[in-house]
Amino acid sequence: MSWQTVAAKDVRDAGRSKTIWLVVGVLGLLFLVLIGADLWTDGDLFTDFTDFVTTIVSILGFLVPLIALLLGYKSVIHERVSGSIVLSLSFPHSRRELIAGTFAGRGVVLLAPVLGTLAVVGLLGGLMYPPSGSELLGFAWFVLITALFGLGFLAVAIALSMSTTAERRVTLGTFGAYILLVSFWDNLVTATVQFLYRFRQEALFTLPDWAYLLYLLKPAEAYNRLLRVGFDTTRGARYASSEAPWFVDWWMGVVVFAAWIAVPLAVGLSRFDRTDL
Amino acid sequence: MAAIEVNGVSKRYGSLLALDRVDLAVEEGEIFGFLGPNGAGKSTLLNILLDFAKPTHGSATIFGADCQRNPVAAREHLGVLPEGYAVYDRLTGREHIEYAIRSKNADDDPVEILRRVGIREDGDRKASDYSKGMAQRLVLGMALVGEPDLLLLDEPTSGLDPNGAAEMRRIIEEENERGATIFFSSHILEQVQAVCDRVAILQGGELVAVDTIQGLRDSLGGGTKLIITVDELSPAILDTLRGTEGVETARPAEDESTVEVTCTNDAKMDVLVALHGAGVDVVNFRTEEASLEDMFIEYTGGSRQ
Repeated sequence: MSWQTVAAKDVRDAGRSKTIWLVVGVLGLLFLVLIGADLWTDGDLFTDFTDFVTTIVSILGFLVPLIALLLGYKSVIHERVSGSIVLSLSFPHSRRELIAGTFAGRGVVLLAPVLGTLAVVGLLGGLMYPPSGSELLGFAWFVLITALFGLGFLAVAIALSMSTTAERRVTLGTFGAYILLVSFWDNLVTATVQFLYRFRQEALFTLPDWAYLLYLLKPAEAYNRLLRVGFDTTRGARYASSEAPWFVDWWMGVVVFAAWIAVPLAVGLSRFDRTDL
Repeated sequence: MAAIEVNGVSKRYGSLLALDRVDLAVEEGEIFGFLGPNGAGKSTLLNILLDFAKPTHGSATIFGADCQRNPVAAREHLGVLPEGYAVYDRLTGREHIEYAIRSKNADDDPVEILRRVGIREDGDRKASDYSKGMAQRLVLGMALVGEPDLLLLDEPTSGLDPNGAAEMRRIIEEENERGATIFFSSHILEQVQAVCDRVAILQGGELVAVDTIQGLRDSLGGGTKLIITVDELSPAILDTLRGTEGVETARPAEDESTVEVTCTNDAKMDVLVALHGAGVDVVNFRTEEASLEDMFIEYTGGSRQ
């Protein structure tokens, strides 16, 4: 299985990047500040463990995409432009295995520190707000969906990285992907709904069924939707209302994450596989 | 089975024809030199063999495996010292070798490989701190891992000092004795001449000659070069010379009144007679044995410095 060889090499190479450790450090620092602030106010910042996790999610919602994109957007193009890719591809690795290995390797470099940080933060949070049994299970589920959330952005970044050899376009594309996927998506869906319903306000109160799905396609929304499975949180409440269609159930969140991982990689690979290095 | 077989390969980049219907067969066990000036298309052909680039027409195989349809199987036979590579920024030299060992499912000892290419002491340093020559040795080491059936070396001595170049030659010969086929490209004739069984000369994307060194010499008809100084050189004189039987080439030298003629040994007198017949005064002449260098220049149309 040659992708594992590539992955192991990539973990060693990318895992020694200082930038990544810096950004992960920022993540850890934010959590420390949060917990410190809670201690400072004698532990009344949050109502309970669920509330604590909900706050953590809002931080992860913008930082995990940032870390994942930073980690992935240079992965292929840097090797291609510098020339180290010809070393890997001189070996009996197919391009598909190279990409699979890169994805797996960067996935480890992304998830090991992020999930490690989460484990520590969860422990500290659990000490301050002792969780119930279901909240404990919910936290494990939350760690799992955070991993999927990060891998989706990593896949987008690696796909961009293998799509072209123009570094500026990849950088701009990554920047655009962050803006679009992290903040702009809802506005776009809302604007689409308003436009199609000729700006009648009531369209926004009684959304058409397909609009729910479009909202859910945003990774952070799928993340929120899935978070509801583990916690009784206000996040993702839209999809639990009585008006929401059946197909925005939690499993659709899993489908959305799977799509964010598989589709960009498949599209990127179909380009990368056919092109000259 | 041929180690490399190239069938009518063309490669077009936009309006540039980098390779023009190249046919080539490299037999198992030979040391094959792939010669041509920079930009002749040598790397393009190597890139096609490695599936870094797809040919516009034609196909290539390595030990019977199609380089484009089955690139992994083709590369399983290979040790490669590619062109335009870069080492991994944050891996040590030793880690590079270990990566090669795992990638090729080999069981070499990384220290032994590092020793063979002469960088054993530097194995634990980051490869990004290596000099060009050390990086070249490292990547050669990666190529040697797993005793490949075929070594593809693109300009192997670039970045090496004369000492390093001699070591490279020794390793090439050792590998060949082990049974490996060697295919290496170079724009420097000297290197090719010293080790190769056969050479191919590529010029402007076209294969202009494939032969043994001796064969190339013979094709010069005994390899005689006449350097003739005349009172006045004109294009008509060159035409006269070129029309004389036994003459391979005739071209003006730098000083306007001298012409260099390569011809068969027997034709020497005929050349002088022809000049005399055309009413040209021969001021001076001498003969030289044509060197391969002349031959290379002749084939590739390059000019002397």
